[in-house]
Order: sequence, then structure tokens, then C-alpha cells
Amino acid sequence: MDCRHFREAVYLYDADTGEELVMSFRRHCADCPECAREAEFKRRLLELVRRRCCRETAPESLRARILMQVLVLRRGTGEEA
Amino acid sequence: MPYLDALYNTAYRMTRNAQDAEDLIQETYLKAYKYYDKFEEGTNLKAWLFKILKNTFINSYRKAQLQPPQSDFADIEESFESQISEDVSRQIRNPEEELLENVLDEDVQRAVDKLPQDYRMVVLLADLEGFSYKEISDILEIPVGTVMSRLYRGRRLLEAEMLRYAREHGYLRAGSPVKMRSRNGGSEPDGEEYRGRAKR
Repeated sequence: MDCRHFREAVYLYDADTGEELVMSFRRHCADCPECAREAEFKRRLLELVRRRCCRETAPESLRARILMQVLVLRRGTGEEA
Repeated sequence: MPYLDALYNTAYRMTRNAQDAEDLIQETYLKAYKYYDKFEEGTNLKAWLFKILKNTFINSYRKAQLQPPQSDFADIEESFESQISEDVSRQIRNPEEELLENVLDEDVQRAVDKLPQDYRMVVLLADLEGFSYKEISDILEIPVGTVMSRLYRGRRLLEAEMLRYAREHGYLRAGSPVKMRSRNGGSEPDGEEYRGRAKR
């Protein structure tokens, strides 16, 4: 695996990526500190995105509204509340 | 209410509007409740719920008679060409650290919000919710190859956007502007080899 190939592929890893390929990535990282650094940067960048973009929590009022809806639905179908 | 916050967060990032997000979530759970008998116990509940969210989201566009925006990567890439140095990390000492440490929350969110919708959805599902390509393919009902292509482009755009903010804020010194990898020179990676074993 060369640097160009590595740089193109670094955004395409996922948990399902085959082991051989993962090994190939790791070997290249071990041999090429620049690519290793870039991969690490991208990994941390995505982690940053996850941390900073996962902040919205559903308001309590929404929860209540959904529960109400479900109850109404149940009553409508004659189920026990 | 399983996965309520995760679903709400995704809905919020897709609509960028709390009221619309709430309406979407309400409808999603209602449908989930109504059609729960269609759900196979023991299979992926989270993915099933996200699929309902996706369909609800698309239907709300149809009702409003809006076309979900089509993304043309070429156009978007061009707008970055003059600003982004693809190799900025190789020119400046520790720019990554500076970026990672100094980037503002609102910049991250703004960068995500700025992604074209079909890229944003895939990035949200993969990077925020941790779904695999196969799961995303099932949720969005698109081929795995399309998932990978959108994810690749989405992540690259995200990175470019955040680097741009970093330069604007002045915590990354500008390197000499270099074109992003040219479209004719670099082809996108062939997704095939990265699929590996599909998760059940």
C-alpha cells in the first residue's frame, strides 16, 4: 500500500473492513509516520464531531406528548391502558 | 422510549429546527408503535427506528413539495479549491493539535449542518450513531457502495470546512493555497475492497 492509496482509503474504514486490509493499513502506518499522523488526525477529527454533535437531548415535553399519543392510540383500539 | 435522544439528535441535525425535529420524532414513534408487530424481535431495533425516521423525514419533504437538495460534489469541491490546502498538515507544525484543541462547538455543528443532506445523513449515522455500512445501507435503502461514496465525500467536506473555519479564526496560519486533489487526477477509491465481511 502506498501513501496515495492510504490517504484515499483512510476515510473508508469501518468495523466490517476485512482483516487483511486492516493489517495492510497498519503496516503502512508503521512505515510512514506522516500517513500515521494523518490517520490519527482524521480519527480524532471524527471523534470531535461525535462529541460535539451529540448534544441534543429530547425535551421532556416531547416525551410526554409521545406517551399521550400512544395512550390515545391504545384507547382507540380498545386495548387496556 | 428507546433511542429517543439519538433519534432526536439526528432529526435536529437534519432539520436544523427544534420544532420540525420534535414533529418528526413524534411521528416516528407513533409509526413505530403502530407497526411494532412488523418488527422482528432480536433484530436491530435501533436501525429499525432510524429507518422509520428516515422515511418520515422524506415524506415530510414530499408533503411540503420540496425537492431534497441533490448534491453535486464537483460544485462543492470547486468552492473549496481556492481556500483549502489539502496538505496544510504537512506544511505547518502541529496544525492538527491547534485545530483539535481550538475548534469551537459551533464550528463543528456548523460544518455538519452545512453538508448536503444526503452526505449529512450518512455521516450522522456512521460517525454519531456508529452504524456499519451494511446497517446504513438497510436504513437508507441504498446500496453499500453509495453509502461509502457519500461517507467518503461527506467526511472530506467536513474536514475541509473545519480547516476553513480554523483559518478564519486565525488559529491555523494559512499555507500557500493548494488545490484539493484534482478531480481528473484522483479517482475515488473503489469501495469494493473495503466492504470486507458484512455484519449480520
